[in-house]
Amino acid sequence: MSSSLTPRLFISSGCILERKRELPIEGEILVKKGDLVNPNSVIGVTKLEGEVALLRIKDQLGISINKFVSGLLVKEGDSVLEQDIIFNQRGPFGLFSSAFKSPYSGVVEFISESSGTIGIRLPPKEFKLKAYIAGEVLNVEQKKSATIEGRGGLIQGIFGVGGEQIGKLIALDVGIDQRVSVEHLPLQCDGCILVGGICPSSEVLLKASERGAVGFVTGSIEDASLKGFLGYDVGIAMTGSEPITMSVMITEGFGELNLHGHIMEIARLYNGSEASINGTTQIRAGALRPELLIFPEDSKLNMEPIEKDKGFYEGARIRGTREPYFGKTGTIKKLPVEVELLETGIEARVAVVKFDNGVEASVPRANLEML
Amino acid sequence: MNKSITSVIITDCGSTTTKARLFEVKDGRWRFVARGEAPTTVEAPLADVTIGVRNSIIELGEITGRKFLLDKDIPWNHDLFDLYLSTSSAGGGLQMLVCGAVAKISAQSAERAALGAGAIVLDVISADDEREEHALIETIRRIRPDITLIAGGTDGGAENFVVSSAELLRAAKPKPRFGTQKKGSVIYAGNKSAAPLVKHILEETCDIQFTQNVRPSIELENIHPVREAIHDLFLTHVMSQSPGYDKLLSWTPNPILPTPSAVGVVIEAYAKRSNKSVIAVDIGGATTDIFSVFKDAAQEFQFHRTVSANYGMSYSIAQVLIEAGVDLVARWLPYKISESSLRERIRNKMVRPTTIPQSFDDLLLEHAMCREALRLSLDHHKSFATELSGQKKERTIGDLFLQKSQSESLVSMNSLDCVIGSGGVLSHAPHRGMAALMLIDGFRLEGVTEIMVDSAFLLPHLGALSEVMPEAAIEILEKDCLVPIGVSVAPSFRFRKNITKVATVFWNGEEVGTVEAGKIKRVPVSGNGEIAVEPVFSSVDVGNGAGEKYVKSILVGDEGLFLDGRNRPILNKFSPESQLEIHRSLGIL
Repeated sequence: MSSSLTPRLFISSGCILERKRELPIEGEILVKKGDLVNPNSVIGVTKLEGEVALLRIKDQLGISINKFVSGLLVKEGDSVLEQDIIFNQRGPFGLFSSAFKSPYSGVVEFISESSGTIGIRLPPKEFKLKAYIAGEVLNVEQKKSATIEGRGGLIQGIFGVGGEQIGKLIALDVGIDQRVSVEHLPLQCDGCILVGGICPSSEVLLKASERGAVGFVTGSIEDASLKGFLGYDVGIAMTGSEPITMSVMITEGFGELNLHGHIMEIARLYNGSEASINGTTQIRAGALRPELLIFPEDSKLNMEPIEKDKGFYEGARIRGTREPYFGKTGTIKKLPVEVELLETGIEARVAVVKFDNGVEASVPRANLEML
Repeated sequence: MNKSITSVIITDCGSTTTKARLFEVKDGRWRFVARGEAPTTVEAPLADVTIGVRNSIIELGEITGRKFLLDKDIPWNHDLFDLYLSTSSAGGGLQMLVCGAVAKISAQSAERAALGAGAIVLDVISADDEREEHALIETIRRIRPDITLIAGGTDGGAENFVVSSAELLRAAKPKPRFGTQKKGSVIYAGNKSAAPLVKHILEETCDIQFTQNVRPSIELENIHPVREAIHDLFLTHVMSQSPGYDKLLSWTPNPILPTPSAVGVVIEAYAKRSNKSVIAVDIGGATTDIFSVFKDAAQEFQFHRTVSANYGMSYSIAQVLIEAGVDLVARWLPYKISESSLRERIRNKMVRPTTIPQSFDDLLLEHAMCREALRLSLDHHKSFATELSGQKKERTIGDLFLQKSQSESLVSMNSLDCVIGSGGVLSHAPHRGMAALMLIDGFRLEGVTEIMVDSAFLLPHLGALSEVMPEAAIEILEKDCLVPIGVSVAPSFRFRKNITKVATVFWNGEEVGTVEAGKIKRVPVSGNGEIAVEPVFSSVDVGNGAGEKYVKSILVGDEGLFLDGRNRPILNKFSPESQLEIHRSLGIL
């Protein structure tokens, strides 16, 4: 097969960040090239068309289509207010009228003279697009998008839930191999993105959310804890629209895996800084991984450019991503060209790895990721 | 065979990988010659499917030492090959929404048409849907189907249901995923009397096309025109809007088939040519496709396809675990594992889908998941592949609502002649016996069934080829694609205390083994020959009915006969020790 990217998740205390921010439908971009923005800046607005509510008047009143047509009090394009009478049909001798009040305010989108239905277009909802990153507007596509470039910390995760949130980074006082407990959580977490530890239980996550946290970044999680936090099992690796107020990002995987030491170093260095988190994960072609972006003051920013992908090389630091070396870190000693026959009978290209615990082993390259 | 064509390159543009295959005439016969692969490039930043196609053909050239491509403007070196074809499921393939009047009648027929055309059906909406209208409108907006199919009402019959569907669509204004056109594409295949009204309701919000009613009467299902309409619209509207497809379309003289449609074409052709009932399965990372060809009551071959969109071996592997449950997965393992460990391993596979099993335990866990994905997918398929399919039957309205007579599944495992497995976990199982056992256990094979695998991922390519040169496609299918593994002999019987022997098996007239109650074992025979299976007692059904002998000429692959006396249905509970014994007896461990 042609070359493919070496598996790795990016961790940097300071790099160039560029994001194209797009409106869901055409609207107005409020910034211009050269403007400086912060993550909470509103850079675009649009109106999302309201839904069409269907009023099945003929069926609800049990009348004929002729009576529906003759009793209509509105036409297509009319504005109506909630409780306006939009249909009225008098019975014999002017008695027993059947009046229908609109349950909505909106505009009459269509009237169906075959089914006796009126469609009311509800009022549009305003959508505000935030910058999400701090930086300078590089480019604007009128009515559609703005591209922003900034500098800050980047931490990519392996899996997340929840969408974009903006808040204040708080490094938890907990070791990279230590389970997060409720005692580790600040009493007040309003607008905070918490970083640290491993394996928060569902109780911890729910408590953090209850206390106002908007994000939680941790090394690993137990399957049951995620289920307890969300209220259901995640079956497909496509997330981001869960109905939660706190996005969660896991950096290493499921089970008991230590948080990457460098992530905690960065969190402590930038404790209190503005940050953005996005738990959206999509693992297919065009994969999306969750991320934490951090925007410290310029004087604190420690640039650490992300190296170009060089592929695996002798001396590279790696981590195992599958049993029996899952989560173990080490260094590549050798990269044999020939394929090797594994215990399972599968042939694969391997790397000879010296793990930090002293064990030396052949590991399929597909089961390694760069640190 | 077309005498002027002796060399064909065919690509299949998958969601992740573009696979190029070279087929040529060698010694007067069509053969598979070489393969090349490259990442599919339909997504940003490259956003041009032809880049991945070119890369895969460049790799093909490197392997064969031939430069098939010239430069960008004139891609092909026609001195070196004669024809280029392609199939595609890139960008998620063809995604459809189906709207019908009644879930079990028109909506189901419309869904069959969509699946037969190679689509992934994102949702099925019917007038008897239990969801609220606002939820349906929100759903339509969110899923952004490439094509919406509206069906409902017999010709000249009720119009209100199909008008409701049209009004829902008008309210939702579905927008396409790709392309600059603002309107969604709709095909109307319902009551022809309602067509003018549907046109009036939808013409301002959607691009609408009309075709024959998929259910012109209650008794008749008319799928073919709808499938053709879907396919044509897919090419002109959907594919032409996808990144690079207009260029790709210009490279080939033939339409680009959706991958599942191409696989279905060649499976159906194989079944008819060999006069066998066939189930083929393609189990991928995200979905499991099942294709079946069975004879109906009128002895006509009927083809069905289902896509179990949430049962796969990587991206959706956790969904298989959720639906099957830990116990049903763990029952296939010859070792003990805690529930939390099992769940976490599967979750980690979900988030790192490109990893491969290094330890044997891990490999066997993947195989256990495969069994459950197969089981769930087949159950879904059986409920779909039903008797009503294009044949006029005398049936009253009352019959429609009787559970027994309506929608009896055509899929009868006892009359199944052949199962074909495709997809990495089956095709690349390190021991062919493992693939056989996964298919036997997952599909709960009954009677006598040939087991084969697609060894080189050629099915989509051969489907495209069969549209142009059907004989060539079948020749390659039989010679180079399908690898016979063995034959499963799996009787079902009424349990009796103290029975050991269930059936006696003969190969070319000689007794070669017995099916023993509760056990599965392998008998090493292979090649073409005659198998005979004799029940030992009257309740044993070996494929021809209780107590009846079974005799057939058959091809047995190198793994031989799998004599499976575990009975049907298969137990929900096995001990690790019994699984270890099974694996050892079959030579897998």
